Amino acid sequence: MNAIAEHSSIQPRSFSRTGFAQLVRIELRKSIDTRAGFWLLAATALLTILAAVARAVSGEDAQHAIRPVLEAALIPTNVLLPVVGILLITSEWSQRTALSTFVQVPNRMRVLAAKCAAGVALGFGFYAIAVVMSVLAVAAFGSNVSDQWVFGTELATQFTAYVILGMLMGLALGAAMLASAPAIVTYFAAPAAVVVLASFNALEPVLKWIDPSSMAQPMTEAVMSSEEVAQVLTSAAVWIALPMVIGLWRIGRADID
Amino acid sequence: MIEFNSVTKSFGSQRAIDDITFTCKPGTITGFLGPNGAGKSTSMRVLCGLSRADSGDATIFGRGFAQLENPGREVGVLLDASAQHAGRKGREVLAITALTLGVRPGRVDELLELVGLAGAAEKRVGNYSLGMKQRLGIANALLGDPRALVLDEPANGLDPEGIRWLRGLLREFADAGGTVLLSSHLLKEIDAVADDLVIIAGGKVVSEGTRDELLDGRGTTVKSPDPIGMTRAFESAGIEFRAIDEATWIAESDALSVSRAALDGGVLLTHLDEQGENALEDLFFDLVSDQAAAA
Ligand SMILES: Nc1ncnc2c1ncn2[C@@H]1O[C@H](COP(=O)(O)OP(=O)(O)OP(=O)(O)O)[C@@H](O)[C@H]1O
Ligand SMILES: [Mg+2]
Repeated sequence: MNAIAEHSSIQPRSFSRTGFAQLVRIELRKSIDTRAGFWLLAATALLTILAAVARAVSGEDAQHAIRPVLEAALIPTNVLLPVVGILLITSEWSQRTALSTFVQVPNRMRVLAAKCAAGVALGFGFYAIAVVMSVLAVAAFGSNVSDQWVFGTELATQFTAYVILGMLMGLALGAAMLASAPAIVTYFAAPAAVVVLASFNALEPVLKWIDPSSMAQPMTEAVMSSEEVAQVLTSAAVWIALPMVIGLWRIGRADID
Repeated sequence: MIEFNSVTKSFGSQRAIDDITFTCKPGTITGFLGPNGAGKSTSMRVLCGLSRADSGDATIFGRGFAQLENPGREVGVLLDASAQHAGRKGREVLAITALTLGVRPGRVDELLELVGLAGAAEKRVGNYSLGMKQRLGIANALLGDPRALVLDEPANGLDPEGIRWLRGLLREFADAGGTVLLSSHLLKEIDAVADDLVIIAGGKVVSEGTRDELLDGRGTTVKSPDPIGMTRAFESAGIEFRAIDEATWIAESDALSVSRAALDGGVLLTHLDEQGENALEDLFFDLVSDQAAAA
């Protein structure tokens, strides 16, 4: 018995498939065990803390309540965490680790699902960090405004969706493009591109239905109107559902080399 | 047991592999030989489910790769040692594999020790030399304690000590009943370790069989310090021969007849080998140039 062959190689053996929860844990670990991943997550956590404290101590008194402080604390998560989502998928291609990943787990859709679940789990994790930091910051530094602790279920739902939709958009763009740089550029440039196009007045009424920033500010400002909710859904179809479908199709049929 | 059944795969209009059929048996090392672009890597990628064949199929222990519940426990695969995340530490690469395959974590350190990377385990793969990446890839392939190995040019970048070590490792693996498919374009490497040979060129299998079947009967290599005497001895014994250089010949006869001819002619021999050092190279170039001529 040695390290090369622990037991006789001739016996037929049966093995069980790696469980889905295990695949998700592995993807979470892969998101932090590289230098780039580690610093991205560390920077997001650090900026979350800074943003919560900064909003709670500076500016007008009205801003020192839980809603505006949490809004500020979630900006790093909304901006940086989707990049982690993008890299979870694209680094398999740019670093060519897909070669060993898919040899270990041949069902590519399970791997992709595990990556999405890991990204969403990261979203909830950082949401929790932001909530804890915001509560602490408001309790420590917040001024005694009337709505200091006002935060209804609508807002809670919107804030959660804000974080998760951003992550899903990152994952979807990563899957559709399978290359880090174009996916990251698209994630950051898409809202700007829509703003530029919207300066053609004729396009404006259409563009607000596909504007990715409708999944951002309106969700954390106040309780949304039903039109705003509808715009979130149509934008999500364009920037999440569509690229994800393209990604599923590409990843499913790609030759990996 | 690894089987290719009439596997064909094209990229666009170009046929990368064309009707590939062969079998790798348990307990043997199958050397997969062919010039650059012959289709070795493409065949292996199809086998491992990374590329879809246009037609035909490839199986491992009778099942398609995607049907294996936990493939890493059945077949260790190393297709490209450079295909690792540059920012990940060597040990971490193996730890991820161990978690995926469900092997005990202690095996990671055993494998690092086995491939000689224990001292470099905390370095990032981006700082590894090619040979070190190759060793990491071999450890990664062995981690699941598989009974088959599929290795694409694993000797690439290994130092002479490493090449000898790999040879010993593969021999031991096969002797324990394992199945090995090993590609290389280093003929000497394959010659030293393979039991069976599959030679491909231009996407087609041009020759296949045991090493002895293919290399026997390709003439006996003869060396002698006496060229005139040796030539005369060949002629008087009626043995066909051709000169490689002034002191080396390939004789179209077996070793015993050549030895007798030399004794009769009173000529000294310094070397006599039925599977000469150049036999595989000769065979390879014969087949590959035939293929090129046919194309
Ligand atoms: N992804 C791809 N797209 C297009 N053509 C490809 C692709 N992969 C391989 N080929 C072509 O298929 C043929 C076989 O290539 P393959 O890599 O299998 O050869 P090989 O035998 O592994 O060669 P080498 O010894 O250089 O590694 C080549 O003509 C190559 O150009
Ligand atoms: Mg190759």
